Amino acid sequence: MTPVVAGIGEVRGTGASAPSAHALTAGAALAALRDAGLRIEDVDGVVRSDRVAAWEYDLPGVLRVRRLDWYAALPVGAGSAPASVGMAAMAVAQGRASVVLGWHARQSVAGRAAGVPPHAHGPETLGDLHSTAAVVLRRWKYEHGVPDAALAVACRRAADRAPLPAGAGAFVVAAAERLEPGRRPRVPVLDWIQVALPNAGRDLVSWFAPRYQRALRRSAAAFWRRNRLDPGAVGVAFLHADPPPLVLPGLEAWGFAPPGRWPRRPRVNPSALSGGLDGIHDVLEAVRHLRGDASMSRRRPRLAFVAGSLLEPTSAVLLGSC
Amino acid sequence: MTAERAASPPLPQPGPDTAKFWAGCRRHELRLQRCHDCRRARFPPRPACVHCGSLRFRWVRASGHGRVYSWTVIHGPTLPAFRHLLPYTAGVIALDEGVFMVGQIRGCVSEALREGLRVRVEFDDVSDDISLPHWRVVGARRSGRRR
Repeated sequence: MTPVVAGIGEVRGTGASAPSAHALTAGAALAALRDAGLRIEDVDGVVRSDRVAAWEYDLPGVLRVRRLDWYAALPVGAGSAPASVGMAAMAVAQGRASVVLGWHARQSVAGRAAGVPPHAHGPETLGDLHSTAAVVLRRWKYEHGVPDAALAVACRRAADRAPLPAGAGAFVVAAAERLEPGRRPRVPVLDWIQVALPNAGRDLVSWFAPRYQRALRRSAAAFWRRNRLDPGAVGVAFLHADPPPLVLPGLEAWGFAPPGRWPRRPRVNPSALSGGLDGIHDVLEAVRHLRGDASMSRRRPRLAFVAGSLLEPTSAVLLGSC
Repeated sequence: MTAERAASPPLPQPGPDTAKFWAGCRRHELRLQRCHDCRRARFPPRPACVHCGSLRFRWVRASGHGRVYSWTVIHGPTLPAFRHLLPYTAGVIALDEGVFMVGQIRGCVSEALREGLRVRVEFDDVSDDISLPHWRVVGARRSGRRR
């Protein structure tokens, strides 16, 4: 079976109405199914990575899912959105399910400071993500001799993070062979990858170990090699990182840019760097770009790449043109 | 909550893997695990060697010396327990034994901090059971504030 993203859906909550996470989930999921021209009765697989869980036993009530052949749940992290697309594609490719619904919902509308853990001051971690990012970037600057001015420009381009909005994003990955022809353009899921790395927020001292840095580069190189692609062939890339300036070493690690430089190609959509919704928004934006209906898209790309960045075990997905 | 409790720093909770490290800190000894098979040191404490996978190891006393690897100056917001320190420096130390450790860096104005500065470990006794390591710059321009 050939996995394709058949539909996407998104709902944004507002502070005043404060919908529940389950309401957000249902809204986004039904929008994605409508976009795909499918019904909830067609769904036989689910993958989720939401902050406020809709567990498998919630699904009949929240989504009226009655038949489920495959179910997976992922922890929330920078890489969970591309990982959930990859897992859905794997389930479809292996014939475990033919229509997989995936989503990520976030109820919180708290501001930037919410959820920042205390400064633990080691001996394994600083605790606070922003201090961690500062330490990582200072070392990165030292390693590559990046001038302060260049670092400041790059950080400004990356640090566009908006306040955390409530909302949900959903996608439908389905077997292309089972879909009726002639509906909405389908986006092939070409490949996906999972890399096991220490989390800099929890284990900063291991994160700095050269063997892990090399591991990501090796995995990234193998990913491009098996797809017979140069990273420069990617038209648009989305890298979710929290805090956002950590996108910079992420771009470098995935082979998109030389040390300390912002890449000329692929085009990195600054509005999507924050991910908006913990990275799921990046997946939706990538699909919009490939379908040619992204608001900021100047030219329809042939390939789109979506990845989490370096604070989490990293995953990525490569999507193709319709 | 009393003011005294509100000002308590977050304390580590020693577990099976880390208890001997924290017991060493209480005695003002910095301890590392050293693999019995490949002889390499590792930190943070783990049941298996991150280099060769061996489950056999012993605890050794580290020299307590290292170099500044990276750092940041924290201006806040922070917890009440750290507020009186603001602004203060915390960062990553590359120990002479080849492992990294995180902690506050003291004894140097932040403008004078450089990658590679020599530091030595010191300990704060923060409770009856817990002492937290921090790092003091050796032979650099001292901070105006005494901590």
